[in-house]
Amino acid sequence: MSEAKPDVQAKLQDPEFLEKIEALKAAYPQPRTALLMCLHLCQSEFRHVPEACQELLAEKLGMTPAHVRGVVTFYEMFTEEPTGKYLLQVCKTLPCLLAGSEKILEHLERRLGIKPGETTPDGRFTLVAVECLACCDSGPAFMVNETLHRRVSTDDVDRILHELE
Amino acid sequence: MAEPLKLLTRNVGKPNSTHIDTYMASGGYEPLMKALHKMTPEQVLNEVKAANLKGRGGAAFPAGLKWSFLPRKKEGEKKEPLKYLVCNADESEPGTFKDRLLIENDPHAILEGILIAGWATQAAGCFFYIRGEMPQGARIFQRAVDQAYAKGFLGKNILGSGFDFDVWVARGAGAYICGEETALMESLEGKRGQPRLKPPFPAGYGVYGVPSNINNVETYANVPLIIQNGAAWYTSIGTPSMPGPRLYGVSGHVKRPGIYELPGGVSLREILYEHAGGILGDRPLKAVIPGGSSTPVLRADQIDVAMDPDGLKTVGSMIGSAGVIVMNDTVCMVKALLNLLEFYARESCGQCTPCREGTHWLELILRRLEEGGGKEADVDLIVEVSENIMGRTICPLGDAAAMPAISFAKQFREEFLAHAKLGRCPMGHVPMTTVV
Ligand SMILES: Cc1cc2nc3c(=O)[nH]c(=O)nc-3n(C[C@H](O)[C@H](O)[C@H](O)COP(=O)(O)O)c2cc1C
Ligand code: SF4
Ligand code: FES
Repeated sequence: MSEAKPDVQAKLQDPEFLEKIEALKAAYPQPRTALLMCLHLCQSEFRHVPEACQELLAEKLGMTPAHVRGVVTFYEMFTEEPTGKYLLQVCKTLPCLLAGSEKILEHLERRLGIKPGETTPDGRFTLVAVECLACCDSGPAFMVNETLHRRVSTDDVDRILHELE
Repeated sequence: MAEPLKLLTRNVGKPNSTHIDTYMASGGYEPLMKALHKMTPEQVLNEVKAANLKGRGGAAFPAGLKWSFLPRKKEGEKKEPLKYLVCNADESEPGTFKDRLLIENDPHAILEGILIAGWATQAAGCFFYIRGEMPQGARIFQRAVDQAYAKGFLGKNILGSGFDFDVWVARGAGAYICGEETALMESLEGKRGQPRLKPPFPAGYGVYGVPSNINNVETYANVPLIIQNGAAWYTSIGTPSMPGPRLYGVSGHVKRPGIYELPGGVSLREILYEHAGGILGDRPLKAVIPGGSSTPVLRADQIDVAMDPDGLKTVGSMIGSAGVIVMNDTVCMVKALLNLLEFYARESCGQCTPCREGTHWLELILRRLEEGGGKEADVDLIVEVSENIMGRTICPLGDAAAMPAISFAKQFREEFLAHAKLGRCPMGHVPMTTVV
């Protein structure tokens, strides 16, 4: 297994974590269907999918590490570099654009001093411009980790960030 | 004016609407019992065929006909051939947000529709594939599935019928292309979401290579209504090319954006001005995309049209997902199209050169036009590049990008040309500086 940070190594040997992977593996007619679910588990645990994790899943699900890596790099919700503690997702697609998403994105860029795709130096916030989140009647849509905020103003954004800080 | 319906949305807004007890308190799962105990699979299939239920995912393909493509056991055979259903809950088409409403408010209606479809096709189970950005929806649906198992509506020998059926919830992870049926199946197999060449079609070669049937969330949610009330009742709602109720999602420049449940084939004008409250700021209407971002755009003088396949054909568009995106006169059409091409270029899976390169070039040409560096010939170039994508790709995403591009450039040609002539956006817009 390739080198990983001690906390990652520890987690990958944690019986509780391994049990979750086994449960996902058994939840579908074929284990390979569990790959994306397992990757979600890793992404939320480590805020990325470390190489050691990819290797572990490859072994558990009977795939090559190269296949797992190919999957990780294909899907936008999986990353190979850690994201910030809070993933700030601003919807940029047409209906939200019509509702004023540009202002939200610009406000966040100014406030955090980063561009979309970047993380603040303290590792707290990653800003991303995402595509349609399927709540277009209540744009601008703003998702913080798993929480969706609808129809946000720049004041709402300030309040939401303040509550996180 | 048609009154809003309360059929698909009958449970929306009820307290604890996602719980199985709430669902059953108003007759939920009675259609399933009727199907299992009083109807043969063939009778259920024929009822759905007679209802002419059209797919709500985009292509409006008749659901009953699609179900009948799945193999059934032949005379003298003991066992049904293995086959699966898939419920497409990937909902990622820009302007589309109706499936979220059903998933988050009435998961049992979807589940019951899936179960009845399972009985009609004698399938072994259903994969519920939900987009990764709906973690809440995935939890709600999983809880509904767990409740249905506990009540004996899922699992072995359902309600004593001898019928076994399972449901597996799987999450996507942020890829529009996984809404395309064969890409979705690849994703379910733990792979990159790259569409398969067709044929073979899913009915012959689906998930794990097993014959599979895929329908949209809203399509399945219609099935209990049909079984409960019959095909004749169902076709008395809506129009011949879009029978039954339909969830219209209205976004953009209207006073009351939202989901409106109305008969299939209702007029677009009625949706905009009566249900959605008219145009934001009481400004002139400029353009409407009628069925999600992939459908050709309409001008303001084209909205006296029925929202069904036949009606929209007369104005060169399509019903798609019935996601209506409204733009008033403050919108720059070049900028709006640029936004859509950014989307398609980002979401192209990259397998086909015309789609991968074409969407990228369209994005560059549009950016150049909007920034003021475009030429008049660019307007024809947009059409030419798009026409070279159409029909030359593995999956319909290529067409889905080309159709809006061609229609914007043709319907708003003068505005596109003005960008080149003036060397800037005539409305003073600038493109978003931040992409990705
Ligand atoms: C690029 C692309 C994206 C699609 N996205 C979705 C989607 O998010 N949800 C959906 O139901 N159908 C989507 N479809 C259509 C599906 O391929 C398929 O036709 C549909 O799920 C069939 O269900 P229906 O017959 O009930 O409409 C998409 C198609 C394409 C080409
Ligand atoms: S048309 Fe585009 S999205 Fe579809 S398979 Fe080809 S490259 Fe991929
Ligand atoms: S465009 Fe933002 S949610 Fe659909």
